[in-house]
Amino acid sequence: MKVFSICICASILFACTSKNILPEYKEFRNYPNENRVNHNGSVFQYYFIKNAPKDNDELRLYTDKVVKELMVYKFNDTLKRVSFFFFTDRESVFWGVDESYHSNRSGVEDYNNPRRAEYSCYLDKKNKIRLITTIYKNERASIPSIIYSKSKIIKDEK
Amino acid sequence: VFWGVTTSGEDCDDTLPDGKYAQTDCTKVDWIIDKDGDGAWSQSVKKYPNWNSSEVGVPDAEFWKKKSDLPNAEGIDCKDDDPKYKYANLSVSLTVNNSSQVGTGADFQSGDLLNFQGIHDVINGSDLEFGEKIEAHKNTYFDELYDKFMDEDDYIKNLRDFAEWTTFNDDLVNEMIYRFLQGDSSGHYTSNNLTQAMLESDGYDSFRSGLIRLIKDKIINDVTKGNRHIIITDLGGPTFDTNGGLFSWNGSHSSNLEVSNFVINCNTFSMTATLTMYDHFGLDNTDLYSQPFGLSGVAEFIARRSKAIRGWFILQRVKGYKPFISEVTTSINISNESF
Repeated sequence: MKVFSICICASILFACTSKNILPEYKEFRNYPNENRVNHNGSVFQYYFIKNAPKDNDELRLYTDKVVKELMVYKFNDTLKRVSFFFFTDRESVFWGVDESYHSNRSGVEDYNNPRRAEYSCYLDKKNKIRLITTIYKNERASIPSIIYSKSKIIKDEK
Repeated sequence: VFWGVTTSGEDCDDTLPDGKYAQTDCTKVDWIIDKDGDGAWSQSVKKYPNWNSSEVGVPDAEFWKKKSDLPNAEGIDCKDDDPKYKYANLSVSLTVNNSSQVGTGADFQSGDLLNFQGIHDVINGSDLEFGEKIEAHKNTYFDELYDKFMDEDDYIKNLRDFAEWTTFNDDLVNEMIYRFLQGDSSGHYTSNNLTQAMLESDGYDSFRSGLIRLIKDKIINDVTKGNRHIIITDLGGPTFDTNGGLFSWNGSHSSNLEVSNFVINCNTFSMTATLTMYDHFGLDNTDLYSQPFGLSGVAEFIARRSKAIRGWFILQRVKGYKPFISEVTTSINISNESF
């Protein structure tokens, strides 16, 4: 009976721990996004990914999908570039970042909470919409290392 | 003798009917189309020490024919079948596109809370847990009580004590507190003392090497013949999580890099640029209750309970002392750095 109970408990524990929790992107509570176009004609959007995949390729697949959803902007003479930044929890249990975001500078990014993924869409000289995807290493650095970068045309006309 | 050409038209590697080279002991530059056929050209320098040399250059006819096929050919590249190798003497521009303008933001407000009730409102609107809010409200009631017995000098003394524990040097603390007391938000605070301390710091070294690495990544991944432009989005700056710069320079607001010359040559690049780093000497709402200055452990415990930060917050946000912008400028000159 004891063995049976232990097996049940172990099964429940395994079921709970192995449950695949889906990632979810959220705005930072302390730094909500504004659709403000800055003097360079850019809009910047920041998101925190809850339950982010640890694997960089999996993360990119997820953020690729998210950017397709979020890229609803139409370029014009005022808006020339849209950049999406994604941040995830860091590995350390002592320095965890949550969606409220504790930053030690007046923005969402700092030494403790570096960016993980950056997507920049812009209208190039040939009037084509180009997307630059950059995935950063999950490291505690002012400027984290790039581990993946690709530039591609996603649309022929604006 | 241009390229070793004889009066009859032959040059170094042109063999005469008797099997001898037209010129001996000369150097000839041959031009050959590069491997990827992108219209760039490679130089091939061959030296013909004597007529017995077995070396034979690329026939001239080959060169002229191909050059006429590609009249718009430009530049000379290196091993451009390897994407890491870019073009020779390719001028590139670089722009930094930052999301927020210096001198704006939540940490650049002053006198916006009007009174201590404003601080209670900030706490109520925060994402602190219930117990943490109670603690924060209690501290604020005590602050309000102490305020009746404190004058500006007392606040500044607390701030100075804390600052001397967490910054580059005491002289710099005095300079920055003096600037804070002047109440001048216009113009940027620059100081030889601050500049020297910043440029000698580990935080700056780390930022500079990260920036150069980022530029190298951008060269490899973004720069093509059609796109000779590098864009860096939201460039931060040096940050400090240990004693050394917390008070005088914590997490940078942003940085700007103005490039006057940027040339890629094969697998190296050279750049002449001016880097300007900005920080706000000011506190936003989260500085009142969140992890102060990104500190942890004992340092966080001390900083959280320090009257200095709350006093600074009161001076700026309630009593209307003005934050200011600190600025450090330096040049970054890189010559033939491999990427």
